[in-house]
Amino acid sequence: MKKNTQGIFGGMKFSDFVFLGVLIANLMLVGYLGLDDYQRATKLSQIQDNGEEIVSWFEDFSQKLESKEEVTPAACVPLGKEADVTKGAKANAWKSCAESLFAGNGPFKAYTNLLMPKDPVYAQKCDKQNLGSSGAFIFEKLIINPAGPPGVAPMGAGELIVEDMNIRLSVCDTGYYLIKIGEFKL
Amino acid sequence: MNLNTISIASLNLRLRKRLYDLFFNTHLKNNFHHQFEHFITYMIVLNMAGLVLEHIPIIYESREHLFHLFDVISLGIFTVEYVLRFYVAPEDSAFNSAKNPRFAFFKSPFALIDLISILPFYLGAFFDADLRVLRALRLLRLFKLFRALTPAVKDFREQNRGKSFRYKIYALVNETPTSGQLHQIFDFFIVVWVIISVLAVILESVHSINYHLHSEFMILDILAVAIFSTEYLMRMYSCTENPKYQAWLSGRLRNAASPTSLIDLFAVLPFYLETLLHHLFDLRFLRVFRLMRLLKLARYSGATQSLFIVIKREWPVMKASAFIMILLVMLAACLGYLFEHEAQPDKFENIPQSIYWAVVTLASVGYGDISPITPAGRAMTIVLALLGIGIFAIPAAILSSALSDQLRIEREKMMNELYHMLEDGVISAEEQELIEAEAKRLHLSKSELERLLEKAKVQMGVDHAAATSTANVGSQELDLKFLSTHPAVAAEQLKITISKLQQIMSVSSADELANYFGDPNNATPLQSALFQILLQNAEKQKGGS
Repeated sequence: MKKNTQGIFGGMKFSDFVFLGVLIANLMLVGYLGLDDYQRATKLSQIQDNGEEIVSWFEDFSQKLESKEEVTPAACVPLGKEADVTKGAKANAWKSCAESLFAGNGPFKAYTNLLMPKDPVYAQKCDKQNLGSSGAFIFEKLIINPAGPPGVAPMGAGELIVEDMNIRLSVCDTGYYLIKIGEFKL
Repeated sequence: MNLNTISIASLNLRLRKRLYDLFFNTHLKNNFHHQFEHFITYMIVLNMAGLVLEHIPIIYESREHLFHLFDVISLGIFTVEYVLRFYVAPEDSAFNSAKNPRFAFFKSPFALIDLISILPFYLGAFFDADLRVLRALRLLRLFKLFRALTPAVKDFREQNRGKSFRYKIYALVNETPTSGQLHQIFDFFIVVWVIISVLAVILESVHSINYHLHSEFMILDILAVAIFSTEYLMRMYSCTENPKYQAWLSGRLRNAASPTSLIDLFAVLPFYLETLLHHLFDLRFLRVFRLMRLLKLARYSGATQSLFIVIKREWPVMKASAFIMILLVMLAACLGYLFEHEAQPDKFENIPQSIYWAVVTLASVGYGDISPITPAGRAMTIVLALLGIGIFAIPAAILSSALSDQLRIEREKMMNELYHMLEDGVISAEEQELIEAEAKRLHLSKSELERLLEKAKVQMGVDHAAATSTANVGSQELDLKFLSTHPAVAAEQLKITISKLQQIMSVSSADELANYFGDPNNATPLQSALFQILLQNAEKQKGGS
């Protein structure tokens, strides 16, 4: 064993060992930083999977509404265009819908902001000034524009949920850029 | 019956020898050994890529049958390779000294790896057991690469025996006389990673791909940075072996400031900066600089190096033409502003805006977003457009003519090298390799190279013939191959040699030479007989005088 070690390192100078040290230190640094990046990427991937489930839940919700089935939570039921208005019904606000979805009894109660565990699971917009928005779901209202691409506006807390409302779900990534997950119609 | 057996056996031997020479004989030059090895290497690399992709559900699930088909084809190829190696083992110098060459091959490490890497599939086909675990053994196909690597490492160690550790690093990352095949493999490895990482950066920008493969791209980038940063450190540490950068600090700093080193640095820097400083700044834009890794390939391309030389050489001319262009652009912008500002204050708002219009017009791009409407402005645009064709073409013409000039110079340089190599009349194996490498660098086809070689040979032959006709021909050394095809030159050469012998006899002591040649241990009978003739001739001449 000693002979082998001598064979490998025989004739090497101090500077050679320093070089090897720097080489190993660099690889360890790349590994350490890379591991951190990779963990964040896998968390982001998990958030995307959760987002896809939210989109498919809303699609299911929408189908049930169309077939006049009973749906929960009631806070997410949109206001009908004509029938409900004539009856004097009030539209639900987005805030109450979102809270009922992600609160204690909601279907997405288990979801958390995996990138920023202390911050809310959804946010109004992806904002570099608000560090906690990284990893949060961003719901945006799509305004159909027949002449071009649809307009996008953030879903404010007081936004009223009405029938045929188009919503886009995105996730705010580590660099505070939106990654589109999907769109659904209420 | 016996005759039949003998003819089958001899046919078998001939076939075995032929197959060995065709695909496995490393000593033959014009066989398919290199192509075969390269093909197997590419198949291994593709298999590894396939193995990785199989673990990405979005790619694998919808294309399972394609993966299976590729696996079957690969297995077929690797099986044929194994069977061929097994069959020709008695011809292989590594095994033919063994009592049973095929058994010696069978139990050799590489053959075992080859066998284990194909065995899981056959076991799965013939036995009903759940052998999914054995599929992991396909990873062993990676070790098949060592078949190419091991001899290269051995050769590298042999060639660099006794050299310092730093020199070995230098020889590994740079082309030196002792670099050998290992350096080629190192270069190939880096080139492959450059291509993989640049493709990854491009595909990352496609949302639908990045959405599903974000983590995989991340892993690729981390691996690429680990490889490129290691390469950078190796180059920086060993650069002092280059006479240009000998001083340990200033030499390294000068090396670090060279264009290729800067490219190497920019290829890895975005990763460190973005990861370490992403809390402070938005450094996402730096990711685009990862595409600069493509420039790393410039190191490996003779064409780009020729282009750099040309730009450096023609820099004063380029500067002059750039000056004329800038002058014309400024003049056009000022005139455009003067004629059009009043008519279109929103478009020709100021001179900087007019510069944009002038460049677009002079370069014959003509987007049309800004265009003159006044008669004077339009008249000027006609002149500008016509001038632009000529002025903007100047740098391109300079570059193209200088590049073809450079290629001509390099070919002439190569011809001179050929003349130099042919001075001794023969081209050795080393010289042949050098010629082929140079021809590859100059993008010469095989037929072009042969034509140049033939030209050099004819030229040298003419030189030889001319040399023999002159009085001082004795100073020329001719090769036997050349003399065998030129009897007149051979006769001349013989005469020169005889006169040389006569000269030696005339200036030497005849008694001492006679004593020496008298001893049968010192000379052959022919040499003694020749000496006697020369001695008699010398005595006759002395008597005559």
